[in-house]
Amino acid sequence: MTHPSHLQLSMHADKALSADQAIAVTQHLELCPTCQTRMAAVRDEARFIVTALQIEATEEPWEVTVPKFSRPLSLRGFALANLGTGLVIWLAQFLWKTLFGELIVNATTWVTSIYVPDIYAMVSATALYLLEEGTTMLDAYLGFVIVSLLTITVLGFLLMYRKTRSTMGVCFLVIMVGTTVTPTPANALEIRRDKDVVTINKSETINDTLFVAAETVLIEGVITGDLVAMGRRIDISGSVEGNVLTFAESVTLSGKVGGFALGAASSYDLHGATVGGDLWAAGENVDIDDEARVGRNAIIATQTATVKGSVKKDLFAFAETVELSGVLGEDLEAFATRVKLLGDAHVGGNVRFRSGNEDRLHRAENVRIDGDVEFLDMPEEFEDKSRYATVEFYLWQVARLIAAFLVGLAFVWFVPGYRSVSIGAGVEALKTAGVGFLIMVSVPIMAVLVAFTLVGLPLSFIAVAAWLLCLYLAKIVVGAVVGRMLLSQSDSLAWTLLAGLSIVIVAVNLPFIGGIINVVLTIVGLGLIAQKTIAKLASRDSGDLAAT
Amino acid sequence: MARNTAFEILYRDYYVRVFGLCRRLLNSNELAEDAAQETFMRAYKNFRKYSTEQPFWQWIATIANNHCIDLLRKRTRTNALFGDESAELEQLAAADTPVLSDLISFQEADCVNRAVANLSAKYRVPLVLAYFNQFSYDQIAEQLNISRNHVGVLLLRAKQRLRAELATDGDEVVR
Repeated sequence: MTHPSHLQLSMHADKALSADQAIAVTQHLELCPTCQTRMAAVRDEARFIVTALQIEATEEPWEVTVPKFSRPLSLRGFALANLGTGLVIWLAQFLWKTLFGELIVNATTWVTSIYVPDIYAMVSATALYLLEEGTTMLDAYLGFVIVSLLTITVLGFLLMYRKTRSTMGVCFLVIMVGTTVTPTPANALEIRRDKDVVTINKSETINDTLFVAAETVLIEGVITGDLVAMGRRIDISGSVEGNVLTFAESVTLSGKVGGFALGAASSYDLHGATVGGDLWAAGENVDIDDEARVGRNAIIATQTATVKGSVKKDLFAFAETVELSGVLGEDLEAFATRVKLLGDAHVGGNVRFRSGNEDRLHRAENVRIDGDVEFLDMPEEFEDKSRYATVEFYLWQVARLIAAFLVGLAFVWFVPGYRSVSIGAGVEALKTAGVGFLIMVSVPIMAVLVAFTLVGLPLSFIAVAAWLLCLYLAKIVVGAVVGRMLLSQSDSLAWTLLAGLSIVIVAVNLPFIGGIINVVLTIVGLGLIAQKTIAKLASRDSGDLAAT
Repeated sequence: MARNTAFEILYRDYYVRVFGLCRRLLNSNELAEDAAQETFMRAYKNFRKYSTEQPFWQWIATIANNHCIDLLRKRTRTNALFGDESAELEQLAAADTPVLSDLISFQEADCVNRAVANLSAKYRVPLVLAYFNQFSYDQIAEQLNISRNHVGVLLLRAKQRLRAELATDGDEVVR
């Protein structure tokens, strides 16, 4: 009698033998006790393996977390997403350019050119400079992002449709085209720092914007970009083709500046210097000597302003004493305690003298004034006039409310999660405020630190932009929360948001305490946004669905 | 939308099981996680083709098996992952160890599982398909693209290996 093989028995136990083989084995088993024992063992073995495998499957020795299921992006979705992102970035770029590059920059330039120069003018000029620089950098950066996205889209298509070697060639081509199309950062930045002296020698030419900080800064050579200098003493006898921004104890300009010169210093002197654009100078003494030339307006805020050289357009002087013995192409506008027109001074336009006392205008015999001499009392805007008494104020607040409302709706529509934020009570509320305060303070500091490295500049701009956006959104988020607390019965997002925002806008405009309320609400709003964002990110990381 | 919701529910219900299957087939937690994700991705893309007459587990397990076997094949850089039937048969003829059930008395289930994990993919995959997935020999043969008899041989060899491993473990435990 031939016994069935091990294989046959095993397959028989698993019910895998063909019908005739199964019959043969069954018949044999009926007659053979040895094989019956073998068969039973094989069956036990199979059953045991099944049980053992199932045991481990039900009692997992390690926890299995179910990750969030991310749907595969279809080709169409992928392309659309990329195109969409590209479009949004392009739109942002366009808006940034038109809004900031054209509208705001131009509007502010216009405002500063007709408005009286004071500390506001200094600040706005600095802001203008940063905006212009920021625009080119952001522009370059966004351009890079767009080209990268396009490259990724093309790559995606290629990889999906043809996985051939030529893909790499095409990729290379796309990247090459991309890099040539990408706008290169317009002004690269060169940074020089030293504890003692930084000198740019006569023979030296710097083809970038130069940022320099040292105890003493001596610029004798040529800088084709802008110059930003900080230190105790700054001497510029060379030539700067762009703008010059200086912050020091003493600044002496004796070279040539192509753009505007802006500076704050204890003593700010133009010794035979030529400034192509405006001169914005603030300090204890500002001195423009007889050989110095200012190509456009001179705006001076100082204790004593001495102008012996020539200013092609207007001179705005906000000073204790203004001494003019040089030539002015157009008007002289002086907010001063005393104005002295000395020697052969020549004013091409009018002289407007704003002071408390008309007698304080001294005019020498040979002084020529082509226009009129006008004395004005201190302007109204310097008097304390209640802002609540003007119609503009209320119009602005309504505009602000509408803008905040629209932005709020859009925000909640884009990120629905923020609809459900709440301040919480007790410790939770304190924590929210703490987080908000931390963000409000730390982000600008970090941005400044990061900006000192060239690579970090775009990052820093993005961080500041995001921070400004969050500052704006903060009060809107608080408005939404307040509105929900107030109209807890209402399901309408629009009404609760409008109600909340109205309250917030009224609250931040309250006399005396409005400012404090504004800061507190901003801090709380920032905290809410941060906490919600962190919570969202955390839940995404660990998976929304817990394993059961 | 309803389709998406249905799929989300199935995903939640079957993820752990699919993950378990992939882990047994691939012998690695990380690979199994990726494989489980890939399995559901494929399932999502082909969800329209799925007919409710077929049990969902059977459908998704087939996708998981296919993917894992593909991975294993790629890893061995050859399609002959399951070797040659006659060569396996020859090795079967070698002296055998006592059947597993005799060793059960001093073996815990997790020892068996550990031993299964230690098997090479060649033996582990058919074993898991047959005894964990409860697939028929025909289904396994189709999945692995080998003959039904070859499946039987591989399973028998797998059990032989398990026995050998468990016998050594057992000796160590006894000592």
